[in-house]
Amino acid sequence: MLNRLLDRMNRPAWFVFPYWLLFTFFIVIPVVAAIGLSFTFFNSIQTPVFVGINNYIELITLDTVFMRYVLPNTLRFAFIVGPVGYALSFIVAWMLSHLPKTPRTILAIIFYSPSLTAGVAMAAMWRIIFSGDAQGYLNALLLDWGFIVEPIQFLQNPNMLMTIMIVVSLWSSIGVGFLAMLAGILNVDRTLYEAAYIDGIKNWFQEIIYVTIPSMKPQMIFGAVMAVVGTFQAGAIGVALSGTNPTPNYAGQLIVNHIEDFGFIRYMMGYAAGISVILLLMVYGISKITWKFLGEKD
Amino acid sequence: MKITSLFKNLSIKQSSIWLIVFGLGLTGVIFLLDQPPAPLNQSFATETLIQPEFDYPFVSQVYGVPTYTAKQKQYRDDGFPFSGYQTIYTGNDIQGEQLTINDPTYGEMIADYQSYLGEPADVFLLTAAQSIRLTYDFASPALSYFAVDYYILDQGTEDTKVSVKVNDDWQFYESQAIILPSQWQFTTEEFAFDRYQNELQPSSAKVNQWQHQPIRDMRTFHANPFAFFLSEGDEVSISFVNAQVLIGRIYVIDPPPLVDYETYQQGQPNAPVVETLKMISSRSMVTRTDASIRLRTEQDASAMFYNTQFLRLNTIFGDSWERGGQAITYAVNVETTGYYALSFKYRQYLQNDMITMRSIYINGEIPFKEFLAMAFPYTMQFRNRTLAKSNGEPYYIYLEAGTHTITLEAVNYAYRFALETLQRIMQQIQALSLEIKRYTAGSNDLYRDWEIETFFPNAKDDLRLWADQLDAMYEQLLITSINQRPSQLANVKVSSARLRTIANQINRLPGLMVQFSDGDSSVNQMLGALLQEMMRSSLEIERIMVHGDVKLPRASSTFFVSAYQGAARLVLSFINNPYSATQMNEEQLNVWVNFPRPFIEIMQAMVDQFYPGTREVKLSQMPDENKLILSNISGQSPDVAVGINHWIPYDFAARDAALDLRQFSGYTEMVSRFSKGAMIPYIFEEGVYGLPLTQNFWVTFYRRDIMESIGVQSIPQTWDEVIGILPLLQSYGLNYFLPLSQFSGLKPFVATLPFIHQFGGSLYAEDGMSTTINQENTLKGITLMAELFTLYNIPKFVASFYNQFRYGTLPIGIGDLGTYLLLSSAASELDGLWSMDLHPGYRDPVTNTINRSSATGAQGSMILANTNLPDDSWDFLSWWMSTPIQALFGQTLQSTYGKTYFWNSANLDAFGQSSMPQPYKEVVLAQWEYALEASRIPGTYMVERELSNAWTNIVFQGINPRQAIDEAVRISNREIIYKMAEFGYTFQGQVLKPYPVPTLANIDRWLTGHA
Repeated sequence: MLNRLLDRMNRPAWFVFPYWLLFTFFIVIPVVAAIGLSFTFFNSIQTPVFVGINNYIELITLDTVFMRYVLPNTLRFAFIVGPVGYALSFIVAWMLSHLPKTPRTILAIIFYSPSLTAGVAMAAMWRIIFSGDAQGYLNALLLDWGFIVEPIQFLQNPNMLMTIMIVVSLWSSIGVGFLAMLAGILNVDRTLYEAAYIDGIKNWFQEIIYVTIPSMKPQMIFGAVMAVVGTFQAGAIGVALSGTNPTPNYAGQLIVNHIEDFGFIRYMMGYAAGISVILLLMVYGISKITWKFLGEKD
Repeated sequence: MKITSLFKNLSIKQSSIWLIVFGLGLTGVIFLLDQPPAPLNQSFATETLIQPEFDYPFVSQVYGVPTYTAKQKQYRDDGFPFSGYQTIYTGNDIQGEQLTINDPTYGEMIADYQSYLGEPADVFLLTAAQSIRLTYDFASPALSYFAVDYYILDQGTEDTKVSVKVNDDWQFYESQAIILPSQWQFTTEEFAFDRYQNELQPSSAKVNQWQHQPIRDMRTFHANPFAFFLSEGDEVSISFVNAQVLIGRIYVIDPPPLVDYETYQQGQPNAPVVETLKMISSRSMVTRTDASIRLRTEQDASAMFYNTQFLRLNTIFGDSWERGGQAITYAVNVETTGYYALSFKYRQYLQNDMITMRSIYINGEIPFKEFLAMAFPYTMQFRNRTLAKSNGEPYYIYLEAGTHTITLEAVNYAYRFALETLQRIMQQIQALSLEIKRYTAGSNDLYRDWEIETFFPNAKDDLRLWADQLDAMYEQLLITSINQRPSQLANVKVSSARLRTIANQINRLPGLMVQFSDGDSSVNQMLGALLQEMMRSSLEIERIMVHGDVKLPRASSTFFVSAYQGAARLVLSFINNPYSATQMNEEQLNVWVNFPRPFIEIMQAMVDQFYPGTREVKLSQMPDENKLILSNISGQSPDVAVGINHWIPYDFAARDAALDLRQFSGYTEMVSRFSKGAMIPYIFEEGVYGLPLTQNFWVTFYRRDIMESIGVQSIPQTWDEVIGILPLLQSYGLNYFLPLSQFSGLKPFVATLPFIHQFGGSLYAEDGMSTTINQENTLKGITLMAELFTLYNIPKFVASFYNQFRYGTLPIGIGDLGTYLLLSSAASELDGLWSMDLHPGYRDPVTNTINRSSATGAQGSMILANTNLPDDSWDFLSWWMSTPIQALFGQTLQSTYGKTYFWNSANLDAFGQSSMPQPYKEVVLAQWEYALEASRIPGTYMVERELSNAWTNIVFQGINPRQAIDEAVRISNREIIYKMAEFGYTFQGQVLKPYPVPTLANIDRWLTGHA
């Protein structure tokens, strides 16, 4: 039986086998396990107990923190950092594409590097800049210039934390999507521009709209999906900036922080798994919508 | 083109031949270049700096009492003569608590003394109650030196100190605390191995013996003994400082001046130089004066003790031998009478481009003047240095056949004037800065015009004078440098330049405070850092060589040897990894310990040596506390976990992963050793699931100098008094520090709890089903907690209290053990300038008592539920937490690694025996009377969080406290009810049964074993 199956299997399928293996171990099994755990009560020490869809009911009906802070924060964060970061990536890529090769490569690395340095390492730098004593860089400058008389609590004040998170995230949002777009812009057939000018376009804005973007749709989609997914999964930034999970008054609480809160602080792994399933669905949904807007219509 | 084609045509065979030839050539070149470093023959003419007459026109004062330097100058200016008087005071000349030979405790020591002197003698006991006094009897008023015979009784690591008064007054600052040095010896000659074949430093014990010591400066600023100015009939008294000590005879001495080397040599003009080479490893020390001096491993094959795979102790660790007065004694045995030279294989990495100094004693005496301060210049590599004259000819010492001792004492003689100059300029900068801050009310606005010149007419000239003095000091110090631009002193030049720049725009000084006195790179801090470094007389030695005119062995191994040894060590490092938590044996008692490696080594050695249990105990280092949870899931958990955070056992207990300790015999007696409040976090339902291991303390730290100079008379004891001194502090631009401002995000219970408990509030209702932080009392506390920031303007965020405390910008505040350790070990420029007091509290108007409750939680231990050896686990844990073992652990840690390895045992008796200075220890023990930790119930985290959020809401959003707290209560209660369901106390929002909340009032219920 097995022999026959193996015999019937197309030989080239073996080349795909390593991919199947890795995909199963690192994607399928964890996702299935998370979905499984989300139907249990699991305190991370004792055996999980099956509780049906209780976790989901509680998430929707009981979890005020989720509804009041986490969800709005996440959406706000994602919808600002995602699109703005995406646009920024494109603009920077487009500008760089006009430079000669050597400066372009060097600048591309410079723009790309903030997203490489892990969020926490970079937050250490931003923490010093925004530090709430008179020694913090920004506070020291403002004090020196006489704009303020006493230090501003950038990281403790709930009204400011989210703004700072967004600023810091935008700074590091020029990531892998940017590289793809840069490659895409450089690959656009030069003759298309000439043809377009013969057809009557007049300026670089029309160039972008009618030639550049349509010619690099795959890269645009890739960049968009990466940007949106990335921002939904971001979480380290608020905690790293404020120094604790939860952030003061949940001001910088994102879904990922909420998952960590339940999983590692309250010892409710099952519930945390439930939230992560919701996050998975959200990311999946958003990327579907992105496809709808930008994807090939065929 | 030709070259590239050459490469293109190379075959594999050819290219590998070329590679080999190239490699061989390269190693040959390296070998030729790798000559042993040239011996450092430079000599340093430090004599001028050492002379007491070395004068400078400015001397410092501390607390209005002149320093000895100032006193000496006065002696010289007034032409006071030296008496030259010599006598012995004993018996009836001395008043004090005299002991008799029949004394049950001290009789033996008196007998010792009599055999030491060879005749009957009287002995006095110096106690806190009674000092020892004598009446000076030399006819004409003059200066005299003193010496004493003494016997140290205290066995701890702190130096025994006494103070010397004349007519009940100190003549100079240093006489307030004079160190009587002790002698420490390793308890074993043979160094034991740990179970992984690495050598362990043996612990040390004091040599109990009579010693003779002139009354001299043990900080080693002054080479001569202290001179006291006395007239006939003056009463000289020796009084108690920190430990009891036996005093024998008291001498008035007149030591002859040291001869120079030429004279010394003329004593034995015909003796030959003996051609021999005796090498003594630095680890073969006979005695040392401080248990902190310790050995380390230098991984170099040229060392006398070396093993490729295992660690052998072979070098004195420089950081542990850097305080003036610390001395090490070695013994050498020579067969032939004659002259010998002295060489050391040494490294001095601390004083960059400069020297550190050692006095060399032969058989307890400095043989000639030049040995008073032998210089050891800066080197990053080990080198040989022969003690030699400026022409390179060694100093020969005359030794007769037999055994002799060689003592090296760390001294600061040549740096005295520099250290005092720095100290004085820093004091004056601090004083001027405070004055100016009073004038400007601490404003540092750059764009405001100040009339500094009008109000402080001297400031400009003072600044210039200080700059000149710093430059003069720099020039003088060049004598002690190996070049003309010592990098160690670079900041002196920067400081003097900065002072001149500021002097030129003196009216802008208020805006330049950051460069002047506050902040990291201010003149004050640069000088402070330099002062601190220059006081460190660090030296590492690997061996001592006593030799004739022979060639000394290389000070480092050759390139090939070190390359081979390095490679071998790299390979072996994969095999030899002790204390790893991955290998477990069911038959052993597996204990995971959350300590740094040195602590575990001591603990393992103690277990091997003293643990009476039959079960073999294996200690492993816990890499990360989260691994405990993971190991529990996978069934790989240890039997006992030691050193975990104090909130972990509760979380484990609530999930059936920890064992209830009340079931074991001896439980009641065990817990009686801890603060009751410290037990609270380990309680879950009816059980107690952990024991405290260490205990923290939160107390007031304050700068005595600053408090005194701004006129704060008494340290605030209540919050009202804190608020009372705030206007004064803030008028100088200074402020108060609360632990709340050290946590930037969530304010944990440690910071918020005092404000609840002190005001008589509690966290939960008695049935545990709701929080009571909205009670009237608690609300008062929380309002204060917020108002201190909103109304009284305490800084909302402080990155490091310790640093700001050092800069003097936050001269008072509440700190914990960490602050204490930093201040006592790292901030030597603040020695004697800070102190500790109790945590401020709330004064109850009715009872007029102050409630000073504060948190104490630190580390704890627990037994895991998976264990198959519960009784062995308890047996081990109760042995480990017993008073003698905890006290011994603390002592061994310090006697092995030095004073900074302080052990704050939660065992109160053991802490009482710790080496913390008595006044501080009393403060801590008194504070622990108020020790109180947060009770834990399901949902506690939400109360902690909501308290923090309430504070944030009040302080940042301006919400009314009542409103903020009501919101916090609503959310917390919901969570408690929700979380209680998990443990069966509630069901669908209905309370089924009450949850027992442990508080100080009912804690006794849990402090006995199960009936």
